[in-house]
Parts: sequence; structure tokens; C-alpha cells
Amino acid sequence: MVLPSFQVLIPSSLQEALDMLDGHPDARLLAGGTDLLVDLRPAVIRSAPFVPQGYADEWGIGYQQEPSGPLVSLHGLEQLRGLRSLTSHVRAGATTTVAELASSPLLRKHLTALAEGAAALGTPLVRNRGTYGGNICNARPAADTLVPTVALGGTLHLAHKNSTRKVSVVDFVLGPGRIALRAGELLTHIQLPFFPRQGSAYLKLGTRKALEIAQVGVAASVVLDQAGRVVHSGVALGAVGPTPILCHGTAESLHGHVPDQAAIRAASLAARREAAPISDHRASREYRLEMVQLLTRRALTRAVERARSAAAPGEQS
Amino acid sequence: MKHDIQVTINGTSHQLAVPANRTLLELLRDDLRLTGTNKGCEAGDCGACTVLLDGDPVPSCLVLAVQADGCDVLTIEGLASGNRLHPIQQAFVDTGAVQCGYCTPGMILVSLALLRKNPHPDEAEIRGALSGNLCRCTGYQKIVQAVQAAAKEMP
Repeated sequence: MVLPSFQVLIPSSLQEALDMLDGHPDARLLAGGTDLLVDLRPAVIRSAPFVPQGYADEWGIGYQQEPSGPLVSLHGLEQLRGLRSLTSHVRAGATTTVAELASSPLLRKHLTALAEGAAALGTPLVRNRGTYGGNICNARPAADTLVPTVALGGTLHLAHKNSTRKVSVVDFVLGPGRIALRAGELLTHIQLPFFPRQGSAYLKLGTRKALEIAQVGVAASVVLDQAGRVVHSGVALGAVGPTPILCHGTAESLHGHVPDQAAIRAASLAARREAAPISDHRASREYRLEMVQLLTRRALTRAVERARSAAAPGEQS
Repeated sequence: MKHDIQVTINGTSHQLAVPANRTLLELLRDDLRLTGTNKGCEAGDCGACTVLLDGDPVPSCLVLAVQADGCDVLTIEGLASGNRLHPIQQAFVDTGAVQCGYCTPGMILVSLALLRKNPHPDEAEIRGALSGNLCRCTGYQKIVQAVQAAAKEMP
């Protein structure tokens, strides 16, 4: 099945890319292509996309349309790629591959949930092509790097021909496949803060170990003070709402407490209350709610263990 | 409009003019007649079209030929030396890891990339590395054994 014909523009600098986007408001960005090129292929048998019952109505899912404008391929822009460690945050280029996230010692150490999310995405082949920015901008509710990014408080840096702006990942993702990217804008990099005495984890529930879309995904991050109390936490739920859900109740319930078993149980119950899953072919609403509570407890437990072992030797933890 | 690209395929540099919507898979199979790379699902799910792109296994159905400009591509045709099979190919034959053969080129290229990075993988690492390549014949057991055998043979 040959791809429909389209024009590809290949910028050799970021400014050139932004000029192209400015001149073609209908352009679409091509990064790893593991979503876009699949979406561009004409349907062979189906006349309409398969939509699980209740899905389209409740979430207004936005399927890709026929391409009208050109594709702007980002493969020549080296500056959009790679991870850099700065004093208090990691800067991840938008076209950093998912495989690079999964194998990064920097992320494994400081932002474990993101490395674990990346390692759980798709297959090794897809991870070698698929990009971090692509996974975020496709904005699927179950996206395995997006959910940890929400828990870790990621900030997205967007460039336009004449300006740049920053937006929190929570404000960026509006619905399934819907994002707050304006015409002419490009996601250049993602900034993720990290702290001393921080630990995080991502757990994905599925029926297969590869090429799975999560039935439920939970990312948890915990930052402890020197006395071992929670000063900051983030729990994000995937596949149980139209976007990843950042659980405010969970963070409130943990704040200021030593995260013992009772505190974690209370926080997990709070997470369950914030989940808004539907029943579909992957799992029922009731099952997902149970699993949100269970996986939140496990992810928080793991995150707390990691935060404690990240504490400097001799420090109380 | 066609794009001029330069790609090194199995050690040979090619200057090619390709349409924008040409995939790397189509370039290999239809333009260069390197039909060892198989066309499967065309959605990145099956791994039959795996090639090594700058050393990493990728689904060539989801790479535009223009995106491979300046890259080094290794296909299954680049492994044997004349009539002498590559140790991984030989191990697949000796172990009985080839049945219909459709998945085999992808399986072998993924195994090669794995063994280059990790010369002594354990079984879980082998199964993990192969998890993007579907085989509907073998049940995978013989394939895993073949990779284990090849790991012993390779220098």
C-alpha cells in the first residue's frame, strides 16, 4: 500500500523549520513517523475508523485527517535531539528517541519514571524511531512517556518564528490527540526538574509485554525533606480519562507526611477518586478503578523506596 | 517532486532520486530489488521489514527514504560473505529456527544489533530484544536458542 502523495520539506536549521511552518499553516510535523506514517496510510477495508462504543461520544476523539499541507521532517535538526543535564533539571530535545530515554543513565538515576515509561512503549523497533516529542504531541491518554512527564512536572518549550513560550504539559494536552500547539509552533524541548531525595516509578498494566496500549498506567514521583516527609509529589494516571490525569487529591493527602503504608494507602484511594475511566475493549471501568488504586499504591511505594535510597548517606530518611 | 539522497546500503553508496512518499522499505524492495527485507503489516507492528539504520534495528516501512539521507543501512543481503553465511544465519539454520522464513531476516538483524551491543545476553534479554518481531511458526523457542548458539560462535 503506497502512501498517499505529499510534499516533504526538510529544514536544515530550527529557524528554517519555523519559517516553513509560518509559511504553511497546514503543515504537519514528521519526527519518528511511527504514528504519522501509520495514520497517513489509506484504510484498506474499513470505511471509517474503528471507534469503541462510547468512546467517540464521551471523549470526542480526534482522528487524523487526510493530509492537505506538506510534512516538515525534523530529521536534519540535530539541536532538537538528545538529553542534557543542567543543575536542577534535565533538558530533553523533542526528537530524542524513546530508546534514548529508556537507556539514559541520567534518567534512570534522577527521573526513573520517564525511563520506565519509555522502556514500556511499543516495541524495541518502534522505540528506535519514535520520539519523545512525538509521543507527547500525539496526546494519547495512555502514552507511556506522556504520563510520567505529567507526574514529573514537565514544561514544554514551544518555538514560533518570532517568539518562544513555555507551557506546562498539563495545560498542553487538551484531549485525545488534541494539544495546545498553535499554527506555526514547534515543540523544541521538554524541561524536567529533579530534586535531591526524589524517587519515581511508572507501572503499566497490559496483557502483553510488547506492543501494548496500557489498560492503566500510573506514574508516581515523590520528593522527601531531610526528615523523610513528603515536600512534593506527583501522581499521574494514564488510560483512565481523556488525558493523563494529575491527581491533586493524592498530592494533598501526602504533603507533609512521612509516606508510610497508611499514608500511601490513603493517597491511592484519593487517586481512585480522581480517575474517570470508561469501559472499552481493553478493560472495564470497574476493573480500571481497582487497578488505579492498586498500581498507585505500588508505584508510590517504589517511588518512596527510591527517594529514600537517593538520600545522601548519613541523612535521616 | 523527487529528492536527491545518498544512502549507504550494505557498504555501497547509492545516489538516488526518490519521491517524498517513498518508504525505505519500498526503496529497498522495489527500486533496488533487495527483496530479503519483507513487507508485513506496514504499521510497525510485525518487524518483518527490519533493517539496521546506522546500526539500530528499525521498521523500514515507517521510515521515509528521504529520512535515510546520509544514513548507513544494513539489510539481510549484507550479512553473508559470498556463500558463507554469517554466524547468526548459520545458527538459525542449524537450530531449526527458520520455518516459513518470513520473519527470519528481521529476526537475524535484530539479533545482530543485540549481540553487537551485548555479546552475552541472557534469555530474557534475547526475548526482550526480539519482542518487536512476530513469528507465527516457531513459537520463538528455536529462535532464542539460535541467538544463544550464535552468541557462542561470534568473536
